[in-house]
Amino acid sequence: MSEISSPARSRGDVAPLAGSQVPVPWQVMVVGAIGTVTSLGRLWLGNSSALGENLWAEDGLFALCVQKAGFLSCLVDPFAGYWLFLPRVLALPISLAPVEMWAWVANLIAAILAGSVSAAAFYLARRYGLGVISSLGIALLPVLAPMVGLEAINAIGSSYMLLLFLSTLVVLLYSPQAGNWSGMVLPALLLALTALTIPSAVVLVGLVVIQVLRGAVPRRYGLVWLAGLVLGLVGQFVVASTAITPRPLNVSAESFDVWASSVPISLLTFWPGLSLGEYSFFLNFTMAPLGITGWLVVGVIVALGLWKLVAGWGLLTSSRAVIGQLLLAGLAFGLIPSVIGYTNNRYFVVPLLLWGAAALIWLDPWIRRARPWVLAIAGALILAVWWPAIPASEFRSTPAPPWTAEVARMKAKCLADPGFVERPIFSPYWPPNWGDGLDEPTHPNLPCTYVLRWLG
Amino acid sequence: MTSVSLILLVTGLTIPSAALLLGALLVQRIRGVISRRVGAIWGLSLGIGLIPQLGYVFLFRGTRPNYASLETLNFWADSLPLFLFSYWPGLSLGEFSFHTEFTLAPFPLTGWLLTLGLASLAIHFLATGWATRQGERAPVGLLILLGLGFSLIPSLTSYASNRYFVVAVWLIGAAAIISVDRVISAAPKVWLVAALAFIAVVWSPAFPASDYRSQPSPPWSEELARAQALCEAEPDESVDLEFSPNWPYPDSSIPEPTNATAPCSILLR
Repeated sequence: MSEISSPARSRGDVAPLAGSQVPVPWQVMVVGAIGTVTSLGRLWLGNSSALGENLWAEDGLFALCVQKAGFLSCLVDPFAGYWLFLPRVLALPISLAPVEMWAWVANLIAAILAGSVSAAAFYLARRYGLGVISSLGIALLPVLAPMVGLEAINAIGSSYMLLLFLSTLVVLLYSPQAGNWSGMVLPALLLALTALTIPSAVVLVGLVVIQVLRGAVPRRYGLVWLAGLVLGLVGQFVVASTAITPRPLNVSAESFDVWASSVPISLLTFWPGLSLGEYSFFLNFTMAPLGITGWLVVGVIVALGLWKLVAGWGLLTSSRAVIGQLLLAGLAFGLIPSVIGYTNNRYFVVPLLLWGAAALIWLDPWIRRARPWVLAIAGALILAVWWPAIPASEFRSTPAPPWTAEVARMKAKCLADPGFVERPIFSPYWPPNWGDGLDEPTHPNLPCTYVLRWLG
Repeated sequence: MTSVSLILLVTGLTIPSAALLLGALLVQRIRGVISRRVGAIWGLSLGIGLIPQLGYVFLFRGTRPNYASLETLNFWADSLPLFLFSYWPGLSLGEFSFHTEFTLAPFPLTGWLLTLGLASLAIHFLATGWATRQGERAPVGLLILLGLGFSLIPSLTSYASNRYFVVAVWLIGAAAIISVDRVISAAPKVWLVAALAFIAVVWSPAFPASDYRSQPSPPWSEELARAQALCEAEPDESVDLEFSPNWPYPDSSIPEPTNATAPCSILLR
């Protein structure tokens, strides 16, 4: 890896001054290509027909909305009680493709998006001063982490996870140099895009404030970034408030408990097959974890996060505060969606990516010193342990139904009865109840007049 | 020196897998950690204990079936991670359902990966600490290797039982503690207290002995009353006594004199 400069490190968790290493563009592009191929590859490994036949939930529904109601109407239509801006924007190119190709186009766009985030994450990590291996690890976490393969992999509808991950890295790892206007504007745009796509981007406000207060981000830059975030959140709030069916809020002690108990279980997915719960041991014995294990683990993460943040507060050359913020931000990103409803595997993807990044930053000094054969063995072991979870899950990868078959079914039905109103089904047999809980225009109701247009 | 000799003698007389300790003694002698004289006395004590033990094993080998096979070897390797994870009660490795829609399964060779990883680590520690008599590396390596060996021997000849891994878990745990001893010694007291409290809390569900171990089944006083009633009714008969946990099992055949059948003439005394 060629660098402009690479000052030596003096101690374990001390990073060189931010901005001291700038990876050359082709290296960033290679990482982006690896990310793209990995994202597509995991889906393909899960089901070899997935790329052309698995049109995932919102990825299909939003494109259908554009066909029915036009891009702008769909762009500002809240879904699930909030504004999913980026998936709405990316629905446009999908809707422009021939309908039988939608699965291909959606999957390619999702893969390019994942690759772009990998490339940007690699750039940020290297620029921050991390070694090649740690930077590569952080860059590929969003496409390689076992948890991602359950549902989030290569889905445009899950692009908010990529945005939250990347935005967090920008705020924590990117330290702009004076007079660098792109360093002021581009992060602000990314933060605005993230806030327009997911309400829990509000957590980033806290991170920007901390970074400014620490002096890691110049005040002027921080203010512009905050302006981007706040504008995005205001847009999010305005659009979300127009939702016909607002997102139900079920905050309760139980939802907190469910969230806390999901934290260790999610963390354990880093070792596929490892689980925590009552289990039968050699038939005669039952071993059960402590009822409050989740809260214990949450407590440890909070304590560790706060300790790192406080200990590294004034040390701008130390990665301690960054690690602390990654730990705390991970908790917050998982907490927000979980406590207003009930936990879902998707809510823990961003926390795991951030905690994984924190671990790699923490281990970076050791990784840099390690001999190549040690790294090779460690890499091979991780790959072996992760291997069963590398193919995307059956739930994510099985075309259910295959998209071309669904299009053929709709066409046949509409040719027989042109006045019929069809309701296409996307993978994984979604929306439930044929979309009865959804509101127009983002609703699967599709008059046959549209379907007959597809026939030319 | 004498007390260690006695312990080694008793251990050799009590369990055949104590033979592994001969290897550990040899390593410690070659490394120069123990003198030739001490090594000879300890080795002799262990040998004296092992001779009748091994003699018994070979003379009465028909009484303990030997199932050694590739399958039992795999079973041992697959079981090892489960026992090591028992340090965190509730932690397990296997196919499990995650948020209902998803199934996560471990890598099929996880047991072997972990076993080989531990063995490699142990050999690395032993090799790098070989010449350093006072260092902790070689003892850590030996403890891990002994732990693996003590679980392997009984597991290989029969199928793995939780009992076969108890010594392994102790020794590997001890190796872990020794290897972080410097960190523990240098840590502020508040951290140590917090760590101990954390471990105590995590272990608390497993503090009470299992139902299987602790449940009187049958309660001994009831069993004695039953035997007494039977013997008073038919003083010339024998009674099959039952100990916890409802043992001996119905399908077990234990030869005389060490079986649970007692003549009433003895019981009525």
